[in-house]
Amino acid sequence: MIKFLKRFYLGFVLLFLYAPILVMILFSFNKGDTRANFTGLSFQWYTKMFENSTLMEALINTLVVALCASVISTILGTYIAFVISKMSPANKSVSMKLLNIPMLNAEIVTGVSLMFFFVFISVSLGFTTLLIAHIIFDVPYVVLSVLPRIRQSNKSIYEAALDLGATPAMAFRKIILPEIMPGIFSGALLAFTMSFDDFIISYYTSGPGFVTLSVYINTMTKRAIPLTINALSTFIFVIVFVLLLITNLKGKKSTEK
Amino acid sequence: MSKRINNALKCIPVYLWLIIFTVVPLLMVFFYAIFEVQDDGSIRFTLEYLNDAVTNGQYLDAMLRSLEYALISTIVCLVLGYPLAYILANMEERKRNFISVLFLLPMWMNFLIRTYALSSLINEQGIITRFLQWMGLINGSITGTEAAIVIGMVYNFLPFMILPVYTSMLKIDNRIVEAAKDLGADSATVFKKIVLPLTVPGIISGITMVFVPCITTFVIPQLLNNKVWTIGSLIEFQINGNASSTGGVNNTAAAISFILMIIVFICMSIFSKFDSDGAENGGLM
Amino acid sequence: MRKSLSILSRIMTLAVTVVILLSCTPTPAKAAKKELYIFNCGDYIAETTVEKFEKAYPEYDVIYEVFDTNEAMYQKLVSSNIPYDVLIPSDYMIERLIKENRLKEIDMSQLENYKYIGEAYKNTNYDPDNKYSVPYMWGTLGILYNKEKVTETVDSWSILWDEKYSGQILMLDSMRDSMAVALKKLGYDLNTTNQAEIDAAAKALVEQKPLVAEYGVDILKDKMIQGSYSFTVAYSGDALYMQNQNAELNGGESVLEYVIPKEGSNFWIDAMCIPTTSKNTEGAMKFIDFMCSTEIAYDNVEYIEYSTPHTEALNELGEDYINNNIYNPSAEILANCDPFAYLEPDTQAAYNKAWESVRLASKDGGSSYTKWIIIGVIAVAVVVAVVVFILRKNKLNKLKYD
Repeated sequence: MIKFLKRFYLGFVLLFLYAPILVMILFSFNKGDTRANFTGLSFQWYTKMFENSTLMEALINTLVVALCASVISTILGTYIAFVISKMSPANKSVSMKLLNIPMLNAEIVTGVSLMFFFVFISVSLGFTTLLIAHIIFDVPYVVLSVLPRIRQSNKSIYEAALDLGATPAMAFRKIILPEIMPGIFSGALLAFTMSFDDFIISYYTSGPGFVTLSVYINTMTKRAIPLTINALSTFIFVIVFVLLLITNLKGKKSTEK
Repeated sequence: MSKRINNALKCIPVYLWLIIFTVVPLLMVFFYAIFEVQDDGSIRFTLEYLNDAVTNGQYLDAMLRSLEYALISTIVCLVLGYPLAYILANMEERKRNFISVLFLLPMWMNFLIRTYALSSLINEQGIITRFLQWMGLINGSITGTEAAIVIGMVYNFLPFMILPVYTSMLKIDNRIVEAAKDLGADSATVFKKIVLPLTVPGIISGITMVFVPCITTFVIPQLLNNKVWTIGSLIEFQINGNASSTGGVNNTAAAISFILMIIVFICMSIFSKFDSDGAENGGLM
Repeated sequence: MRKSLSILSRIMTLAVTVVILLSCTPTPAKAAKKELYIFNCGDYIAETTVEKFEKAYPEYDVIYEVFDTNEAMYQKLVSSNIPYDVLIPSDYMIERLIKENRLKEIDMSQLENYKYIGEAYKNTNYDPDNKYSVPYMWGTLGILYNKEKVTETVDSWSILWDEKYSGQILMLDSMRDSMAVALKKLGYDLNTTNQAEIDAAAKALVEQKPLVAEYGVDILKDKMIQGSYSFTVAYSGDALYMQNQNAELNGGESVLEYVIPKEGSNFWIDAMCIPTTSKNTEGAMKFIDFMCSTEIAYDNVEYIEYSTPHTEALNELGEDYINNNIYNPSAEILANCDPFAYLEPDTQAAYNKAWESVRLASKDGGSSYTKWIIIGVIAVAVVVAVVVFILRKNKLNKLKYD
């Protein structure tokens, strides 16, 4: 009984999270052009989606920014994590507090403050400012997922490697890096996801000539959001979901073996 | 000695990064809250914007309204999310890994689109509205009511509550629980004495990750109940509703953002007080 | 955890692959092409137009940007260093751009297709000598109402203040439009610079607020189409769209009716112009001319469904459109409508302040008790935090002494 209740509850919350997504997917196959009534099945929005060059450009922009930001912030964040792990406790607490600000502060304040900053140093808003903004709010996520790994890593093996004649660089590559790799990966992934989904900060720090998907969609909420956007979202969602299923099934097989 | 200097040198770029890209932008908000750039490019000191931001009754109302929605949404997220994290943490490993990713997955779908889709479920013609009407629980639509804003916020930010709590539950050493059971504790006592105290850090970070975005979001109210502005909508209007040649810099927006920032930081430090207390208890265990 | 990480890392790998694939496919050699920057409102052009232009003029590479509001467009135009070649803003923004010398004069004799633009849309207030802009779309502002729910005659803005229809009224979340509604209802000019009139309009809108179900722009459309509300303020193009969709939903006749109230309303034109920052004026002229060709004007109007100033495109749309009083209202009605004028910064600030006070006013007019609950909760939280903090300190001290 309790098991059933647990299942039911889990299912209920998942339904709550996924129902709007299912509706969105359904309407991406709408023959008509409104979100109001479903008139029939058609794939027209998928073909239109690929024909729409502005939309495709916005998608590429989003991916490029998310990718660049996550790669740079992963490298930077890992470096910062290493430096912080070696700091004195007082220094550590100060820098952790500063580091957490972009993550904890209100997004709108971060966005607005960065915009003011860029305007003040008279950099015109565009790709560079957007990338910097994304790196700024991505770095804390990377640091927070790498830092615990560094703390857990076994220092004596590293020292043993040095004693056995490995150069520090080599010991780092062979010993430390594999140990903290999962942290780096999850940090990078989190950073990528945050960048990909971000709207508010991009809204204030992006400029003309470089529009990300969410900013582009926002320009259309004033008029009707065309169903091509539904098609595109479905497309991305399905790819990610299928990938997830495949890896999960593979994982199942390997554990069964 | 040289190693210490070496370490200190390594700290410099980190501090430089933190100061230039975290502290300075926040100072810019303060700067524009008290300095006005004149047409001729000169800068004038003024407290009128800050004064206006604090004394304008309507701004204050908007702030309180935003806090109200954020508070309610955070409580709902906690009440919904905590049991869920508990259920999830007690599942077999492979299953829970899969399901925990399911909670992250919606983030890959643009959040504007998700909220838009949500509004089509709870507007006057939406399935959920019709179901509730049929049950006789409501008349009229859900969108346009304050409940709609809360639903929207819970919908968007629930994963941010579930995941930290879930992670903190996974960290609990099963041996402690078993030891407690061996010593005769029933499951209620185990929960009260072990699980709950040990998940306080998770709860706190969950609350932070839900509460702050809830205060400032302007998209959710805009799409689900656009009758009354929240503080986020106000800042957004100040910046983008005004066509000025200042390139987006707006003193009123700066002043309001500054006040908002202070409120957020006060909230943060209140939360962190609870947190360190909880961590201490956890440590004593 | 490790497993889910490996799953996540695979997702990451996929994302990388997608980026690489996407960035490889649609980039034909751009080297020899001249860039042409177009800056238009979002979703405000037929999906095929840019492609057709690039096919017709392969020497140009169109970089197509969108904005959401005229104000955002202005800021980006002024603050960025992108050499936009063609802008499509609204009338009052064009007036401002002309006043600030931000537009190039256009030699209309070089535009082969300019002759198709109707005389009614030339010699306007914002561009009296037709030197700077070529009309693209136009429309009016009015009331769209549901005949099934409203049986009386609708001919005045004041019906939007009728308490009978409380919770049945939708208003535009757009400063100039909603202020225009209130100003016209009170019998004032919709471009008034008189502070007392602006305040009166704001007061009227605050009074109306308890009756309003929702403020919005796009989100209102579905609500009217589905017949859930009685009134909305709407642009003519959107009104037509809602009518058509409603007719489709009902399987025949639409129950929605559009009226331009007797007090008068707004008549707007969006037009194409060339900013002084343009570096490819020749391409800009070609683009504007291309947009005025009958085929393309028809494509665009068919997609956007706003009224077209293009006489041939209108003929091609057929009798239904020419005789439609929403799409093509009579000259007398239009004479009663004014375009928006550019507001000087001080007036603009007064309008902003007025609109801000309307949007911030709480929905029931008075202050609510929830406010005090919130203040109470916050106070309690602060007190608890302080108490916890003090207790902890004491405990630590005790530990020290022990």
